[in-house]
Amino acid sequence: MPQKGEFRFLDGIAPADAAFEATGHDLAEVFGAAASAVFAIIVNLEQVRTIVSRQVTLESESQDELLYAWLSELVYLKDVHRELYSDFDVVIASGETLRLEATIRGDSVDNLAGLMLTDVKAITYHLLAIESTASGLKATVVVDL
Amino acid sequence: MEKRKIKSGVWEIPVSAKQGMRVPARLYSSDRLIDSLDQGVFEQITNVASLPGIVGQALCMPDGHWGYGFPIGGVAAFSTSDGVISPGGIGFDINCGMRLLRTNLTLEELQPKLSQLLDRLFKYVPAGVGREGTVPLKKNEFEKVLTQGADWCHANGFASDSDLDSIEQRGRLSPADPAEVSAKAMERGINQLGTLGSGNHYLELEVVKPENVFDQELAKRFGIDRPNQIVVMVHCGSRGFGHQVATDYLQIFTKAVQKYGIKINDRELACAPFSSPEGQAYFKAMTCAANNAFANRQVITHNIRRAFVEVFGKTEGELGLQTVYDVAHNIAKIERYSIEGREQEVIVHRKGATRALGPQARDLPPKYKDIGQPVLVGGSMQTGSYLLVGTDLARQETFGSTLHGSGRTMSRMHAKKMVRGDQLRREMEAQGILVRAASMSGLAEEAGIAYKKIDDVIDAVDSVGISRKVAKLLPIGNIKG
Repeated sequence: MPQKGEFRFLDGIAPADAAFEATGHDLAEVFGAAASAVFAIIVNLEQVRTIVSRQVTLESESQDELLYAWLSELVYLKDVHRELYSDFDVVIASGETLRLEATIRGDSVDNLAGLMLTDVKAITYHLLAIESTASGLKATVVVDL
Repeated sequence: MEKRKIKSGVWEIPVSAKQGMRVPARLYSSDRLIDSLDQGVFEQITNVASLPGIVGQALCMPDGHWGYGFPIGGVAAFSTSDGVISPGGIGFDINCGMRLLRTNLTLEELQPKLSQLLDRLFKYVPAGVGREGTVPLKKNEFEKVLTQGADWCHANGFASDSDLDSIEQRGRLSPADPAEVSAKAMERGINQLGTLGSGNHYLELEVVKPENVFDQELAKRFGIDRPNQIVVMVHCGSRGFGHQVATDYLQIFTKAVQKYGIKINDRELACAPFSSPEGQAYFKAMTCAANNAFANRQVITHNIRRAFVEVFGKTEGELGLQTVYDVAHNIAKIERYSIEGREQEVIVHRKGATRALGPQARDLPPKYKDIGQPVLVGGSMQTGSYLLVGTDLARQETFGSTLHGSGRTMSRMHAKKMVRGDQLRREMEAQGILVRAASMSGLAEEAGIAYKKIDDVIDAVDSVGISRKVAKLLPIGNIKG
């Protein structure tokens, strides 16, 4: 089993909102961990069953623009379908542009009534960055609550 | 960062403080508050002062705190001919704002039915993540909401003539053009009309105690005319629609800054020349979101009235449920000011700042023409809110702007470590404040300890004179998203 990415929340940045770091061995792991972080702000991920599934396809010219588009797409899908997601299979292919293909799984908010903590309403560009680390990559993201 | 006090309650950061600053930055504060400002505020307001076409000064109000792009509490005006427009100077929640309703009820009359009323309000005003609105709309009807705002509510039985007379710009801004709005924004917004949302949004029942009325005459003109009177405050905005508009245009403006060769110090300050195709498209889409927010607070008002009528068994007229005012605190608007001795048209950005017109201002409704605009300031749910009045000094100094709230001092994460939601709820009930919350975790994030003292920030604007105190409003019941 490949090791999955991880995330941790950062205090002391944008006090009215939330910030996190997502790490992984490669871009796909970082994107999966960042998606998990967004939904972990909204709900305890262990309480979200994976009974609905959706496909996401995105393209971008840069890593951080693709990250912004990916997380913003998840926020949009959450609102429009009234679903929360807890499982993210992400594949990112490099070519002339970066191409992301993902399968996301989760459950309807109607099945999670009373369990939600707060909402993530948008992704910001504030301090948005993807950088190399000794063990792979690290993304920093601030989200609007 | 270098700052000097230029008069009581006002500090200035000179253009020499940071490379690229085009105008000075000014911080409205008090001796007590100025030293507690986040370092991020200094960085962010000087970044704003570096944007092209800014005029006068970049301003920060006493409730200022670290946001992204602009600080929360930031105000800046840009020339409409050679300045920019930036979603980061408005916020994701376009036309997040406040509405205040008065009632004929006193605390003594309300208290026996407080719990029942809160239950009914919690039922009629959907709050929290994923809740759907109370008005099903088809796409063509939603487009009318976006172009007509509160006028659409009036045409569809959700607003009275008196409501329209009591909303900033009568709740309808132009030029709103749904053609500049993405399909995603339409999809996010179409099912959310009449919802409160989450985060720091709330619906609050408040009491005006006689000792908390600072100007009897003005209070009476604003409908506060009896001891221990009950009022209702609503804080929310354009919901997912506004957030999607901002998200879409931030991506477009990230490319626009390269196209137009604009240097920015924070990517969240992505912008475009106001007169450019990109700038005009965003302005039209943002105006749609602003109208959506006016309509949202109006539909919520309609449902508040339903709840009161049912619980008290009286008519709206008998209950006296009238809108005192409704005003945005996240918005950009074209306004005219005398700047450096010359009358100029500017696009004023207010991000966590409230328009505060003084007496005789052109955009005042006739009923407030001689006294100035009611200014609605939401405090924390434990400590109270304020009703202020705008002044002419705000026109002269702050592009007709003042503060919007208490201002956060503690992060949401830190607040949740300090207090549990269920414990806070019990504490508030012991204080006489009943709570209905969609999320206990979300409640903890909004604890009073997470905010500056509302009395201190209000005293700061009152002392310097950019708005004046009329009454303090104490919470007795809170619906929290």
